Amino acid sequence: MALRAVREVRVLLCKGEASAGAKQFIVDKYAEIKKAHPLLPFLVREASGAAPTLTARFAHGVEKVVPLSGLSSADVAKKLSELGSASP
Amino acid sequence: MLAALQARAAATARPGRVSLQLLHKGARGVRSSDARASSAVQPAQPSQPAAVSAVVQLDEAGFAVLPKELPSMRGVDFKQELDPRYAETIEVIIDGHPVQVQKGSSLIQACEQVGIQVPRFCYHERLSVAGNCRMCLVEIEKAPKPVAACAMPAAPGMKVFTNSPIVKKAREGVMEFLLANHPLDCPICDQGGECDLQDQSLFFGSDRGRTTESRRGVEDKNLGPLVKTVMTRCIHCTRCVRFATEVAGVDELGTVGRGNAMEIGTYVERMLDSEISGNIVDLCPVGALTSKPYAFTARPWELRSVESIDVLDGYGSNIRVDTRGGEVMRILPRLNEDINEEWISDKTRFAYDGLKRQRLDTPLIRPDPEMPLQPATWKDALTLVAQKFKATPGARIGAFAGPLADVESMLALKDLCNAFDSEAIHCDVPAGPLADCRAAYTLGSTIAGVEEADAVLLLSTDLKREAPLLNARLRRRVYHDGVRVASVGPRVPLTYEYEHLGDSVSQLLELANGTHPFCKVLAGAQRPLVLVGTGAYERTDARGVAWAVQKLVTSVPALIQDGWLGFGTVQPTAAAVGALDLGLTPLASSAAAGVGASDGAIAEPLGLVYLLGYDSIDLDRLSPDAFVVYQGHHGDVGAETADVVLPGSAYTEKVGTYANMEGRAQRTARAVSPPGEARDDWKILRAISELAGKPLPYAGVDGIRERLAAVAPQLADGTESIHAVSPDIAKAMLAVRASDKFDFDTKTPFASCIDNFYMTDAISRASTTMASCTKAFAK
Repeated sequence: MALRAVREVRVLLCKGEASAGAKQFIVDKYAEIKKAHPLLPFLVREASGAAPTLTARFAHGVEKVVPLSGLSSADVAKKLSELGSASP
Repeated sequence: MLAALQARAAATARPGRVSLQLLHKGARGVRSSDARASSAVQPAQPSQPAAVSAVVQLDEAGFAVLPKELPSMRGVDFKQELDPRYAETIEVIIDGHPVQVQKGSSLIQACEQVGIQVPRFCYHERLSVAGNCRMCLVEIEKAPKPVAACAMPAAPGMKVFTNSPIVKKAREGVMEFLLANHPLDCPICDQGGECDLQDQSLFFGSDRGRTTESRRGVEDKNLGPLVKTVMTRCIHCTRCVRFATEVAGVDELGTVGRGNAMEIGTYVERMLDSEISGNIVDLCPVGALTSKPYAFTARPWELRSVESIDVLDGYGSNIRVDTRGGEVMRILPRLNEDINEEWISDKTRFAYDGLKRQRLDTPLIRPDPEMPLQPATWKDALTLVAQKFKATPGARIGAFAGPLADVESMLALKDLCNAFDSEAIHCDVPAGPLADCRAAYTLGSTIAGVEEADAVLLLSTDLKREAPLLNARLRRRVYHDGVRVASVGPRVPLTYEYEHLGDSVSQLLELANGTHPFCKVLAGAQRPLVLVGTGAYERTDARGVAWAVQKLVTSVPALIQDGWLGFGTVQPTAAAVGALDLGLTPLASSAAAGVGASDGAIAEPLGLVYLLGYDSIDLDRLSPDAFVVYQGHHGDVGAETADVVLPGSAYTEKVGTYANMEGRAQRTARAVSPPGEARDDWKILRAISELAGKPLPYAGVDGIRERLAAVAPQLADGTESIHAVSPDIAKAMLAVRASDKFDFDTKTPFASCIDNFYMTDAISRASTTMASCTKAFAK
């Protein structure tokens, strides 16, 4: 998973079923991501009632937001690598 | 209370009822927050059949007619609701009304549960029962004489009268005895207008006195720079003595002598060395103990009160700010069972005079590095800063947020710096385990949850100074339930007994490796708790310590389980959790710098340094040609080094969101206006972005709140809720460790992050009261 251009990743999770896949993704893949990008801030935040999203911030404060509602763990991984390969 | 009595009298006098049904909210009252519901193991359902929707009837005159069975359980403690021991109720007949009250209540509590307040001086619901003021005398049928309601347990079928002629006469007599020795100095007494003795003598006292003897005189005691004593006014309720021994854990205060010669004091003159001693001012029902800094400054009826939040430490105490004519006159606690109960620390209460000194009230520009700062207009100052933002490459822009920064301004600062391609946005927190996971930097167990722990390990913390009220909660847990507390860190008095395991990294490593005997205690506990002070990360081997802490936390399964997160960081500042939530990077201490860019070591010399209330800048690490902007409310170290000073607002002057150490977002309220030309902090940053040509995408308060909800929804609602971290996520994230090889410094002992409780930030450093406390107490 190349996240070269990404400056910060923010994963927002809710308490409900909608973010079950995203949660699974964090549990399974966080260690791997952190190993590949030890200096990349990869913020995981939970809030009841929040819409689960994945936000990637690129240079000059440009942000791209992907909704994660109802996605499976594999889908979330795909979304993240899409963001990683995207140019801002 | 009077209204309740009138309603009661009306109810008994007028039997003819016109029923008019009004639904009201149920007797149990609405809890201010359901914070613990999300993390509590037991579902927060009441275990007793509470009266949910009672029907209030009105008579012809519009008075409420009390039903024969009054709804009970008002003001029931949260813990008691869950405790099956309190589920049972018994029937007591109070003033002719049969009512259901909790089994085990005293009569005064039983009366309280049905809305009758019995006058009292010595009884206080959070202290032990003394029963010595005799003001709460009530009549019980078949009892030979009136009994003290605070010390009398309610028994089934007991017939109690709180307003009979005998009771009235008894109260009048008690009042007469109390007033026989009480000076008639109400006009020069600071308690005047909010004095229990004054109020109750008006309602229950006699209209004339019969005493001709001279009044008793008592020498005033010196209790230090915070509490003023006028001991002739003392009525010997002993609330202060009980608070000191039971809550604060200091045994200095006591009673000396008997009868008419009885005195409250310390016997040998000594000051009350406690971080929460100011609460005895609130507890004193008369003017014997009053606030020394507040003496003779205002009368209660002149004050305007605003409900707000304290930001001088990471605890987030709820406070009431009393102001008069645009000036903060005093700060009092506000009830919040989940945080500060009804206490506040002395810094919270007495540091307010710092709000009036050393204030920055106009923009300042230093025209030349050799010259002093000169007053300037907002336009010039902001334009200059905006120019610097445009001219400096992103990699050379650095921003630092201080301990008092609110979430909104930190968000604006981050967005502004990010827009100019800077990633160096730091907060005043030493780099701990990892900022990615919220469980790593908050108090996962919640503040109230600390009282559910059954084995506690403290690491590198002097809890009594870093969080005095958290320490008082832990003390209660130790005394009531005999919980074992051990500490690796400074050997300091914590007001209760604990095992001191040592103060070096070696003990931490033993604990992390599972070879220390205390590991068995943690492993055997249902709800173990590890509290880490941020002093642990202010060391050269901070990364190694963080690794060891993570290892320890993940090695004890019960620390992270469903409904219990037993790993907590005691954040000493109000800005810390909010800053980390937003993604500001913690700053490695200068000693640990250079270990890795992720710790915020400054790689390149900064050309533009933006200090948002940040006063601990390391000048040696600052390149001499750096342009320093200071935005804040006090002329402290940061402003001194600055090239441009932008005056901001203090916490009593703005509406700002702050997250306390457990991650609870709360909002301050604007009690007074900022001085001079000072402005709201986030608006200053918004203005800079506009002038620099990259306007932030929000202009109003609603806009920034919306942005906050998108970035950190856990902070956005500001309705005092905690969004707990899921255990599986905490477990997975805390298990990730960068490497396993670290150099440890076993020589340097673990220390607290605070060396002087009374001076920790720009406001308390500017306060003269805190300066005299430092002189009196700090060693």
